[in-house]
Amino acid sequence: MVLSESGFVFVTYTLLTWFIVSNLTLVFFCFKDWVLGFLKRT
Amino acid sequence: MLNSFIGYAMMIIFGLIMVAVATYMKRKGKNNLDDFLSARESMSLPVTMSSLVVVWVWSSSLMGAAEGAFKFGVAGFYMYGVSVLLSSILIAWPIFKRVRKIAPSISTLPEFMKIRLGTRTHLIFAIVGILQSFFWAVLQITAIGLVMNVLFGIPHAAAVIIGALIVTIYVAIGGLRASIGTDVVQFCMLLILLAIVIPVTLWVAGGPAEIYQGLAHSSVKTATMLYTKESVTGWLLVSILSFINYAIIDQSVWQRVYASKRGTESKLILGTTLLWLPIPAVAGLIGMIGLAKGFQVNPSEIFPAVVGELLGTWGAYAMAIIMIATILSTTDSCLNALSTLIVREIYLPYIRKNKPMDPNKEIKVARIVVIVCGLGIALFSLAQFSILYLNYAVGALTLAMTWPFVLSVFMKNLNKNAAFWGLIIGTVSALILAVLPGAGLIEPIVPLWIGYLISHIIAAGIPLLGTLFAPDHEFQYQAAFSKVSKGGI
Repeated sequence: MVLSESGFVFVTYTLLTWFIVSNLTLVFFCFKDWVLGFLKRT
Repeated sequence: MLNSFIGYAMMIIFGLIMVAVATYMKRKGKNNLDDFLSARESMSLPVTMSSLVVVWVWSSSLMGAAEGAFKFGVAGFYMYGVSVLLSSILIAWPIFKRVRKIAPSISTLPEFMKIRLGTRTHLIFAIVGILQSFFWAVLQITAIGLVMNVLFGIPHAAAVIIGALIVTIYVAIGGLRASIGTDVVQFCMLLILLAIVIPVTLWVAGGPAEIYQGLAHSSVKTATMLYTKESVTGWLLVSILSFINYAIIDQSVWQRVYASKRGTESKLILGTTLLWLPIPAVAGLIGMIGLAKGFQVNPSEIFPAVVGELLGTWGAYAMAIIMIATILSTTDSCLNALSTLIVREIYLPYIRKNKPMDPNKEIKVARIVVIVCGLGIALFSLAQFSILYLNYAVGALTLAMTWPFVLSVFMKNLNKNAAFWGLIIGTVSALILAVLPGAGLIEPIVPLWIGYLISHIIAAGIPLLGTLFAPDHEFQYQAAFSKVSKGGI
């Protein structure tokens, strides 16, 4: 089964968006967790 | 080649940051062995999730995924990730939900097997677990030696010793807390850099439409096909059958599941899978760029070759940081898992005979074990074993453990002897049919994927048949595991 050019473009942008949004969201939550933890201790 | 002085400086600065994080994490802990080795139920979901993502992302997730896409084309979008997806959804999710419920006080896989199937099976699980963690750490430290040598010209031995020293120091300072805390920092570095490097490489290469045209006219005539017979038998099936136990056998995963708050296991496993899946897929995109642009390099080096060629010096430096973070995060998890297994499964039950110890002395023993293991890992890594061989050997060593463990979690009347012999014969079969031919030491008797399949069938079939013909008495999970105190049997 051949992946068409438009399918390739769609899959590429979908994967990049999924990768960047999901992982940077977790980076944000980790920072939030650590900053809140640090503030609670001080 | 980049400036070797900058390479040394990068490693040392990286090490200092990790030691600072480890010291901070240690201050948050309690002064006892269980906290040093398990950090039980004390870590938030984002922290354990990012730690688990970075444990699952190792050099192979980036380089191996890119290599596969370079060989097979668009199949590289999904073929690497399917094995971990199946391992997580079909096995790890139901297993950890159940194990955490019936055995909240344990923290290692061999500990579970000791109570469920007895000392004989426990010893095999403990020894294989120790070998797995040790050789995975050796594999990672060997890889850091290769990467720093290729990128900066740093002698292999120097990079190995510095890498092992950094990891040993910060794990000895803070145990599992240090490992998880540094994982979070490494996760942030890794993901932020990848989120820049991969889209920019794609943009410099001309964008997806141009890459597709390059693939359609590349040397691999089937590069735009989602699957071919070669890609299914040579990559997909081997990957699924060798990594189906990926999410349940590794002690690093157990430690993070038990360090997370009770009741968050499902979110942890499913969330990590969701976050991890696009990483090898976008790494595969780099391999496709290499294929579309006609790169002529060793396939295993396609990821750094494409990034270095298209992004120039800054891309090579970004690549170096990505590889250091990827490799050392997995190494610290392996070192921590290794020391935990040695202390909990060998030292306390067989050498100390479970006699009570002063908490400070217990932690001192654990730190000594971390330091000795770190030295052992550095020494073995100096020998420069083949990374490919170690990868195959470790994978097949643990293959046969999968089904005796999975069946022991769900089957109350599992025949213990049959489970033991399924484990032994399945391991021998994996050695002959998968490890030795996979490493190129003997001619394959059957295709590699069939070798893995036969070993799985043996490891699952013997316990199932044994139970069918001679079932044991029903095992009382709640009663057996309720006798375990936190931190040991």
